[in-house]
Amino acid sequence: MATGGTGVIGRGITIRGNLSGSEDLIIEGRVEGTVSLKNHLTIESTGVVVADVDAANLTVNGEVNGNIGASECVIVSGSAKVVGNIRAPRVIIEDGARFKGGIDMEFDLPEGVSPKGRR
Amino acid sequence: MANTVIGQSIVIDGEISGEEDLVIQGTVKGRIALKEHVLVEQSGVVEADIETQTVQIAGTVTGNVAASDKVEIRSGGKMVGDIKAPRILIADGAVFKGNVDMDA
Repeated sequence: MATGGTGVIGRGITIRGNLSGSEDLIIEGRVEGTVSLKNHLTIESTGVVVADVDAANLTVNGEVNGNIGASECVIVSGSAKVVGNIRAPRVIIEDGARFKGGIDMEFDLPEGVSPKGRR
Repeated sequence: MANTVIGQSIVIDGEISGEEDLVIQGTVKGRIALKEHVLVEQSGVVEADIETQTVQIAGTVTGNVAASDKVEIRSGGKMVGDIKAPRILIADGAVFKGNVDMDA
């Protein structure tokens, strides 16, 4: 597949195993295992991902059960359901989203403020 | 509706409780327990656990937040701690580190 194109995993598809690549990908079906992508991954509202997900950018409209790591940005939209931890410099959670887990964005607090809630 | 504003130069070390809206522009350390709306403005610094109906964070919060309705971290808002609320919004430009629990 050509780099820079957009792949689609359709609704009728189930993938069990490891998925990796360096193009944009849209998941409308089901993926179990691990997903590792160098570009933008979109999980559509019909998509179900039971896997640890690693991508540059991730948009979740569907369901994710697993840990998420992104080098740039994670968007959890209002229709999304996510259970797992998210680690990314930018994380956006929209109204209506269902999320359970931890979020870690690397940042510094203003001087003199102690991070007492930190774990 | 009554409205309390804690101004920029104010520092509170202790507990705030009550039944009206609260706007924090200054510094609060300790604990906040309200039945209404808490707004932490850009200049606001809260090092406290917050328990209320809705919380909007545009400033800095370190501590655990529990809301009966909604927690919103706005662009520019910084938070370290755990959130428990049925609705949680994190805007682009906000930063957050901690756990989220949306179970009502």
